Amino acid sequence: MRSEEEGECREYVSMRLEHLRRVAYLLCQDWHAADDLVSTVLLKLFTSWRKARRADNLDAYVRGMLTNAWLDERRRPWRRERAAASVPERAVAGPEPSDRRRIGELLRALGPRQRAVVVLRFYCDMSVEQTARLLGISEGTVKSQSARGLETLRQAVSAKGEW
Amino acid sequence: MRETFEEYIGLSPQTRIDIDDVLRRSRRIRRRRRLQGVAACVTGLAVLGVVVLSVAILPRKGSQQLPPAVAASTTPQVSDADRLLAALKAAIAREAPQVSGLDGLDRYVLQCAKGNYRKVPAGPGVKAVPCPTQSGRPGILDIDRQYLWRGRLTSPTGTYIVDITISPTTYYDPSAPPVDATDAEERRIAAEQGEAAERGPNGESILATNYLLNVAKPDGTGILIKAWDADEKGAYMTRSPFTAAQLKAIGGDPALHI
Repeated sequence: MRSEEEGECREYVSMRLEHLRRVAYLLCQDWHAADDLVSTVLLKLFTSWRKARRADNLDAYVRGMLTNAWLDERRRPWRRERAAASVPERAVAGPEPSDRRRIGELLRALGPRQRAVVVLRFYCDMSVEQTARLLGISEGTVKSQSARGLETLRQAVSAKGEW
Repeated sequence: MRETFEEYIGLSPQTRIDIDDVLRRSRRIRRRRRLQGVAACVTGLAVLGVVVLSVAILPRKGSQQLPPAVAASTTPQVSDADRLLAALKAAIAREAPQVSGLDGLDRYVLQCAKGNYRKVPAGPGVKAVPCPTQSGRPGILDIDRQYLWRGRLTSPTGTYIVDITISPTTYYDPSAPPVDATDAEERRIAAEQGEAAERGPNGESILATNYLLNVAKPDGTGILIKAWDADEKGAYMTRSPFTAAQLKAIGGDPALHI
C-alpha cells in the first residue's frame, strides 16, 4: 500500500472509528470486546484497503466486515456465551439505568445472527438487500430474522410496559 | 428505533484502540505476506530444479528406491517449538559455554483457569487455552505461538532457574524519536534507571542485564529471558548464570525468530 493510500485509509478510520465502536458495542454488549472486535476489523481493513476502497458503499462494506468478524468470533468455542449461575463482575462498565439495562437484556436475548440483522437493519439503516448481501444470506432470511427479532423486542418490551 | 439504540449505547468510553499500532501491525503482515510469496516461489523453483536434476542425473534402481512420495512422507516434521528450542540451545552453548543443563529445559503452555493464565507442562494433547475476553483479562496475542520454557541451569557460580519466552510482540525502534510526551518521559526515566532499550545490529530493541533479557525484533519476534538463583539466597533475580553481553548475543541470534 502506497503512503497516500495509507493516509486515505487512516483518515477514513479516524472519521468512522466512533461509529464502528458503537455498532460493535450493540453486537458485543461489552466495550472491551467491542474494542477488540474493531481492532481486528481495522487490521483486516488496513491490509486489504485496495479491495475495500473499490466497494460501492465503503461504510456498508466495513459494517459487513465488522458483523461477519463478530459472527466468526461467536463460532469459536471459547467465545460462546454460557449460562452462569451468577453474573460475573465487570471490570470497567459502570451501572446502567434500568431502561438501558432492559434494552441490553433484550438484545442479548436475540440469537447472534438475529442480533446482527437487527443491528444492521434498524441501527445502521441498511436495506434488506444490502443486509442479505453483507451477511451472505437470502433476502427472505433477512426479512424473517428481522421480523422475528423485532417481534421479540416488542413482545419483551410490551411485557415490561414500555418501548 | 435508531434513537432508542443511541440512547441505550449512551456516551462511549475512551477507546483503547491505537490506530498507529494497528497500522504498524498491518504493515508487518503485508511485509510477511510478500516475503512468504517470494519464499514460496523460490522453494517451488528449487524443488522443481531438484526433481528435474534427479530425473535427469540419478541412476534408476527400480524397486530398491522408495518412490518420491513415500520418501517425502518419512521426512520428520519439525515443529516451531522444537526448532526454536534447538536454536536456543545452540545459541546458549555458543555464547555462554560455562552454562550447562540445557537438556533440562521443559516447555509449558498457557491455559486459562478461572480468568487467569497459568503455565501447564506441555505434552501430547495439552493445548493452549485463551481466556475469554468477557473475563476482563487482557487477551494474549496469538496464544498458540507463546513458546515458554523453564529449566535449572548450572554455571561455576551456582544453579539458577531460567524462564525463557519466545512469542510475537510489538516492535518499537528504540532509536526512533518518541511518539509523544509520555513516551519521551518514560524513556527519560528508563535511561535514568539504566533500563533504556538499545538498538541492536539488526535493528532489534534490546534491554539486557545479567538476569534479564528483553528483545523485540523488527520481524515481530519477542524474546524474554529471566534468571534467578535456585536456592533463593540472593536477592530476587540479581544472580544469573549469564552476563548481559552473553544474553544480548543469545537474543540477537537470527535463528531465533517466529
